[in-house]
Formats: sequence, structure tokens, C-alpha cells
Amino acid sequence: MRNLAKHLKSNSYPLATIGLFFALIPIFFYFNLPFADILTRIFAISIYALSFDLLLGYTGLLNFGQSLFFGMGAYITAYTLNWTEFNFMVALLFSLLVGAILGVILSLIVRRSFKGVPFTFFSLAFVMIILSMFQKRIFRPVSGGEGGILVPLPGILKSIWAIRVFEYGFLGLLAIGLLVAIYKNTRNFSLLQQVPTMLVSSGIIGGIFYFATEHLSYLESAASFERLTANRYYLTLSFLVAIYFLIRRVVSSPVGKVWQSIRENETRTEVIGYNTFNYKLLALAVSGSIAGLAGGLYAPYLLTVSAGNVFDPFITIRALIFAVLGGLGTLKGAILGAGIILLLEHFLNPLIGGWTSILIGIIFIFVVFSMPRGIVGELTVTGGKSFREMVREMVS
Amino acid sequence: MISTLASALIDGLALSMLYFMIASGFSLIFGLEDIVNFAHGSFFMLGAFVSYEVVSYTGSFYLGLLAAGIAMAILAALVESGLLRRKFGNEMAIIMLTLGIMYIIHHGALLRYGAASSTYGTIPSYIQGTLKPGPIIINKYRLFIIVLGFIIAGGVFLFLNRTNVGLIVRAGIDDVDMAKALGANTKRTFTLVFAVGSALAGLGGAAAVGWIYASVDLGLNYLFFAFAIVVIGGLGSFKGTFYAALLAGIIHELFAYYIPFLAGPSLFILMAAVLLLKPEGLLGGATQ
Repeated sequence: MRNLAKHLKSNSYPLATIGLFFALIPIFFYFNLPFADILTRIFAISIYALSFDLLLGYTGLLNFGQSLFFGMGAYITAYTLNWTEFNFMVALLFSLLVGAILGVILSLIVRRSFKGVPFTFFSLAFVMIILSMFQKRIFRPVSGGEGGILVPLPGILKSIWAIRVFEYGFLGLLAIGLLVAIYKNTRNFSLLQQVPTMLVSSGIIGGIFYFATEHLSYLESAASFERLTANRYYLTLSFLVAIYFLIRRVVSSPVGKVWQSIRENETRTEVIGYNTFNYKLLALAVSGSIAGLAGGLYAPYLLTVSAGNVFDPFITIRALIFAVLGGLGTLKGAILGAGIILLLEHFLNPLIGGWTSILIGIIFIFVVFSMPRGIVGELTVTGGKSFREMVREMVS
Repeated sequence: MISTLASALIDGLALSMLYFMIASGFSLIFGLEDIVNFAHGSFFMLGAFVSYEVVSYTGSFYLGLLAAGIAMAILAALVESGLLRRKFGNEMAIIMLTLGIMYIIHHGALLRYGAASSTYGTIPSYIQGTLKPGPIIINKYRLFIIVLGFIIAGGVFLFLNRTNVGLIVRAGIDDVDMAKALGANTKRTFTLVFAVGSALAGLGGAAAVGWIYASVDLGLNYLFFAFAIVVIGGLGSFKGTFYAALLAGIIHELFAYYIPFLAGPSLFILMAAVLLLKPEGLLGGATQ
């Protein structure tokens, strides 16, 4: 119990942020529902960018075949929903397992050239062969041809109970996160100051709860596509949060330290006595399973899965842009980068159309050139000061 | 029977020459400064479109080829001196920068041409149609690609072996630090090699338009082909690149004629086999 309290205290800001994102959906319902879909897309792509960052940022492997895992994940979920009686969660589990298996297979194939540029091109070749196979006429029953195969809507996305669980569960999270954060920052206050602060903040949280309950009673009678939007949003966000904390845990574990040491100097790691091949295989399997899961989550968003839109190597190049823009090897950076770029595209596309992609390419080159550590990297390591300290200095 | 085999060999040779034109520049650039140019395939694709545009405006086929080569040389020289040169030694940054350029070219081409593939409206009449010596049918345009490829291969070979700049290039591929220590201006040489290599890629793209059509997909496909050829031939070996291109092109077309199913992955299988049996490439070990 004390351990839990400690965790809550050290993670109160992330918890509050996450809770805030969960609390956003009622607001979307009143103002702009399609915007929730943009965020859903950002969450799913962020999971993919995280899997990419895990490989490049922590193990130093530049995998251009990452979209193989993503695409297979999407296809497996579509197959499971189409051809079997299993529900969405089992389908996601299958996607995850297939991603891990493909990661192991890929590492066994490239075993002789499992580093640097040769690995990059080998994995690129792998995904391009699968892509061209899937576009052949013989594979039409499996791939769905040009049009792709339809993804039936998973039951969980339509259910009202899922919404209730998500809504109350994560509003609770928000409340706890906010209260702990406020408590942490008001500890030095005198009792006279502390009591009103707590009262006001409790009032705000209560207000949010009231708002959400109102909204929930609205959802009970809402059209099914609205419920679908809300459920998809919550589900993807929950997975993003879970995967984020999972990866953060893994990269600070002993295994993660070995990965980072492989990134820094593989020969030395090998000389110390680690079997680097096994560690790289593990990294590829973990990253593959996460990418597979991302594909599975993205499938109901796409509605149809076709080889051209899930195996495209440019999906991977985009993930690379997200990770590098936010900061390689920071995890937060991958999510931030995906958010910035996708929002930019969302707002600029109606204005300048395809020129957005060119603008993004230019921004990417600029970032590589002038802030090689990415946004999060530059903010957190400048002069050994944290971002919060810098802000505090600027204010005082 | 014999006519099928002959067509397969002619097509194979023509494809080899396209492979050679993209891989030779890639190989020289990699050999000299250890730079992996991810935008190399995009230069090939852009060259194809530049040539297509010029030919459709002016109607002159050779002007199109020339324009593709020159435009790619200028673009490459700008990219090298403006961006890449300042990040020499930082392998990851170079990869990111060339990827960024590739991303921009790819999306720029998508913006202009979309998913369409285009070919020349007019080409000179003497490279249209077919030759028919006996039972064999030879497509004249493919013959033209073969001749062009051999001319370029001969030119690059002479440049490397008979000129002073070529001497510096070969010395740089062998040991860049030693070449610098002996007073060779490897930086200026590298700019030249980068420009010439990209010009060859652009020329290859321009030649490809009349046969396999210009499309946005060429960029990524030919980037991979270039890399595979360089791996098969051996890193840093120019002759190896030439022989590997011949081998890969002919094998691809033989498969395409007799076992179509394996034509797509043939290059991949060849690369995997070479990496397993002789990881330094066919002629890679010879220079060391």
C-alpha cells in the first residue's frame, strides 16, 4: 500500500494528464465529435511509433520492415473478426502474438547481418516482398485485393458497459492524479492555505464528475456511431497508456540496460559476455508484438484493411519522423511527435493539401539539423536542467 | 523456345543496365565517405519524371535524357554541399537527412503525378519497334538501354582508372584517411562523385521511362535494388557492382519468363544467398 502511494506521488503529473485526456471525450460530444477520431488515430499511431522508438532509440536497430508487423497485426485482427467467433480482445492478442513470432522469424533470417544499414535494407526487402505477394492475384482471397477486406465492428466498441467502465474508471484516475498533485504542491502551505485549496480543487473535480454523469446519461440514448467513437477513443487511449508504462518499465530493467549498451557499443557488450543476438531477437520480438497490437487497434479505425495501406514502408518512415522529432529514446517524444505532426496535418491539409507532407519533410530536416536530440531531448538535457527548472528560473 | 530465351536475355541485359546505373553511384558514394544515400532511389524516380516532362514539352528524347542527368547532378551537389557536408562523421544524422530528402521528393512527386505511371509520347523512330533476325525478336528500345548502359559503364571505368580525379576516388575508397593525409582534396572529390553518381541515377530513371514507365513507386524499389546489387557485388568494388548488376538483371528476367512467381523475390534471394555464403560480396574481398 505504501508502495502504491509512492508510485502515485511520483507519477501524479502523468496520471493527471492521462485522466485529462480521458475526461476530454464528454467535451468532444458537445463541440466537435470528429476531433475525437483524430486523437484516436494519434493514439494508435503513437503505439506504433513507440514500438519503433524501442528498436531505434534503445537498441540502435533501424528497422524499415516495421510495417510488416503493423500490417500483419491489422490483417490478423480483420481475419479473426471476419472468420471466427472470437471477440476483439482475443483478436488483438492474436495480432500481438503474430507480431512477436514475425519478429523472431525476421531476426533468424537476418542473423548474419543483424546491425546497421544491412539490417535496415534486409527488413525493407522483407516487407516489400510480402507487400508484392499480397498484391498478386493468387493471394486475393487472403489479401482482399485492391479494395482490401472489410473489418466488422467489434462488439466491445458498441457496448454501453464499456463506456461506463472507461468513463468512471478514468475519471477516478483523473481525480486521484489531480488530488495527489495538488497535495504534493501544497504540502508546504499552512493549514489555513491548504484547506481552501483542497476545497476548491475538490469542487472542480466534483464539477467534472457532474459533467461526465450528465454526459453519460446522454450517451445511453446516443446514436451508435457516437458510442462507437467514444469507445474507440477510450480503448485506444487505455492501450497507449498501458504500453507506454510497460515499455518504460522494460527499458529501465536489466534487459533494457543491455539493449542500450548494444546501442552504444555492441562489440564491447559481446566481450563482457552477453549474447547480443539473443537480446536483439528479444527486442525485435517485443517491438514486433507492440507494432502488431498497434495494427490490430488501427484496423477498426481503417474499416478496410488492404495491403497498400498497412504494409506501406512510408508508415515506418513516418514513425521515424515522429520519434526523431520528439526525441529518439525518450518514449514521450514518440507520442509528442505523432501528436504534433498529425494535428499539423489535420489543420493544414484543408488549406494547402499535399504540400503539408513537403512542409513536414522540411521540418524534419530542420530538426535533424539544429536539434538532433528532438524536442523532448533538447528540453530535458539542456545544461543538465530539467524543463520544469528552466521554467521556474524564467518565471522568478 | 530459342526466341523466348533470347528475349529473356535481352530484357535481362537491359534490366541489368538500369540496375547498374542506379547501383554504381550508390556504390561510389558509399565507398568514399560511408554515406548511405537513402535519397538515391528518389533521384532515379525524379530523373524519370524530369525527363518525361522535358520530352513532352520539347519533343526531343535526347534533351530529356540530358536534362535528367544535369538536373540530378545540380540537385545532388546542392544537397551535398548544403546539408550532408556539415554532418560528416555522424552516420545517424546523414541517414536521417537523406531520408528527409527522400520523403520530400516522394510526396512532391505524389502531389504532381499521384498513382499514375507515364511514358514518353515521342521517341526517335529508330529505337521504336523490334528487330527480327531469324526467330529472335529484339525490342529496339531495350537494345538502346543496353548500349547506353555499356557506354556509361565504360565511361565510368575510364574515369576511375585513367584520370587524376579517378585516382583520388579509388584511393579514397581504399583508405580515406590516408588519401587525406597525402594531400588529396577528398571533400571536393566527394562532391563531384555525389553529383556524378546522382546524375547516373537520374539518367537511369530517364532511360527506364520508355520501358517500365515512370511512377512514384520507382523511388523505394530502386533504392532497395541499388543496395542489394552493392551487397551482392561487394562494398566498394566497382567491377563487382557491374557484374552483380548483370547477374541480378538476367536472373530476374529468366525467372520472369519461366517461373514468374519467383521473379519478385529473386534479388532478395540472391542477396540472402551471397550474405550467407560470401558475406563480403562476390568481389568484395579482392581489394583488401
